This record gives sequence, C-alpha cells and structure tokens, in this order.
Amino acid sequence: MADPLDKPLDKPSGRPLYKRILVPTDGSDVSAVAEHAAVEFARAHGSEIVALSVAQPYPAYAAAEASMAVDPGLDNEAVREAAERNVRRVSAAAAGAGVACTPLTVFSHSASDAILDSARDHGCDLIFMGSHGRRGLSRLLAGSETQKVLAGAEVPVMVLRPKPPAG
Amino acid sequence: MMNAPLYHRILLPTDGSEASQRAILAGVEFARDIGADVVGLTATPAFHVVSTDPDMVGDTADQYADASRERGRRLLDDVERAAREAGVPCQLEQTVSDEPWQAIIETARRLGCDLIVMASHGRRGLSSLLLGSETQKVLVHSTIPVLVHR
Repeated sequence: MADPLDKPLDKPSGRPLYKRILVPTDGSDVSAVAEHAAVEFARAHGSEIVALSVAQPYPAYAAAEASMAVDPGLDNEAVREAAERNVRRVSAAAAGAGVACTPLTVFSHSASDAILDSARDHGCDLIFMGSHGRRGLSRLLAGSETQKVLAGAEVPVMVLRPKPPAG
Repeated sequence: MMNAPLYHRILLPTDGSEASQRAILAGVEFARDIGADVVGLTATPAFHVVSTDPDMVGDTADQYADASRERGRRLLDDVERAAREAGVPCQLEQTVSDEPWQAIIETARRLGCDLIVMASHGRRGLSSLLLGSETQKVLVHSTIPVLVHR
C-alpha cells in the first residue's frame, strides 16, 4: 500500500486551494449557518460559490390521492418558486460580500443525489453543509442528507453545526 | 486575491489509517496556503486488564503505556513530517482516551483550534462508503467547523 504521505505536496500555486464551493440551501436555519459561513470563507479565501436549491417535486402518489383538489403542476410551480427564493438569498449575500455566485435550482426527489451531481457537474472542489437539514430533527443522526453527501462526495465537505441556543 | 484567513489553527486528528494520512496532507496544504498552524492529535485507548486488543494482552499497565506512547508518537511523526516539509508551524498532542471523538473536541477547545480537518472514516471503518463512528460523533458534538475528507 502506497503511503499517501510519501507524495510531496504541490508547490503553492498562488491560487486558492478551494476555488468553487457548492452551497446547498433548503431555507432552514441550519442551512443559513452554512450559507453564511460559505460566503465568509469564499470572501476570505478568494473562492467562488455555486448556490444550489433542490426543488423536491410532490410525490406522484400524493398528487393522485388529491387529484380532484390539487393540480400537481401548480404545486410544483410553488415548490420551484420557494427553491428559487432560497437560492436568490444566497446570491444576494454573496453579491454583498463581493463573491461571485452561480445560482442553481434543480428538481430532484433526493437532495443528496442532487448535491453530489451538481458538485460534479459544476466542478466544485468543496461542499459546505449544515449538520442537519430540514428533516433532521435528531441531533444523533447528524442530518441524513448530510450523511449521504459525506458518504458519496468525491470532494471534501465542510460541516457546520449551528451553535446551541444559549441557556 | 486573499483577505484575512478565517482559520488560524487547524486540528489534525490521526489514527494512522490511509484515509487520515490523506486528510493530514490536505489539512497541511490548506494551512500552508492560508498561513495557519496545525495541531497533530492522536488518542490512544486506556489500558484495560481484560482486552481483545493484541497490544494490551500480556502487558502490564506500564509496558502498555510505553508501547502506546511509542505508537502514538509514530502516528504523530506523520503530521510533523508533513508540516515540516510544507513549512507549517506544528504542535503535537497525545491523549489517552477510549473515546477519541471526545479527545478531539476537548483538544480543539483547549488549544484554540478554529477548524478540524479529518477523514470520513478511520481504521475501524468497514468501508470507505460509510461515515466512521468517531467522525460522526465529532460532527454531532463539535461547534467548530469540521472539514471532512474521503
């Protein structure tokens, strides 16, 4: 087994080590912590940001159940609007800090798959995530989507946990 | 163009696995680029009279303490070497703990580290596709950002 430590480091390139950071956002307080940290990181270290919002379409069975009352097309439009609102918030924060930001909204049933695919497609070399997302109510799970991203990511993942409320 | 770096002292925990060696290199390279220093940390398990660990069986507590200090020292040599070659200031910490994740968080706090760089899985991880249990516990409990490398 080759010892990874026997390979010398590349010489400093003068360019940031992490050039393009993927920041998934779901509008939760936890992802707001990651967004804020990513913008700060990008500003300090000269990186750019790809802000990703995953619009999760209504599952087909839910639409079928309520097909008399609900037009799934309208629902998906609302989902997309919410997702775009989230990503616009990150773009605005990045612009305020003078950080280049590419906003991205994708439709997917799996947030973690969308995150991993987007990181690959957009050549991101770092992913910023909160330690639990919208669904992660249990601290012990450390966020199931975050776990899936950590297990599947080809690039490093910066995990941030919101500070516990005082008192 | 680089503004004032966000991190000044990076904790690099290691268990000697290939994954943690890769994380050490990445952490040292990042430290070099942003002008931070690093702290190498290894946690060796406490001595237990009844144990399935071949390093403990047949030893007295003293022999075990010597042997595990020696083992920890070898793991930390990796961090020291990588840091020296990159010109990054480095300090080394050895702790005795059966809960490495606690040692990691406690050391980060005590030494004022503002970032932890570690591997997603360690020696005990069955598969590189799973998140190691120590890493998972650090993620749940650390209020300091953790940069996880595969």
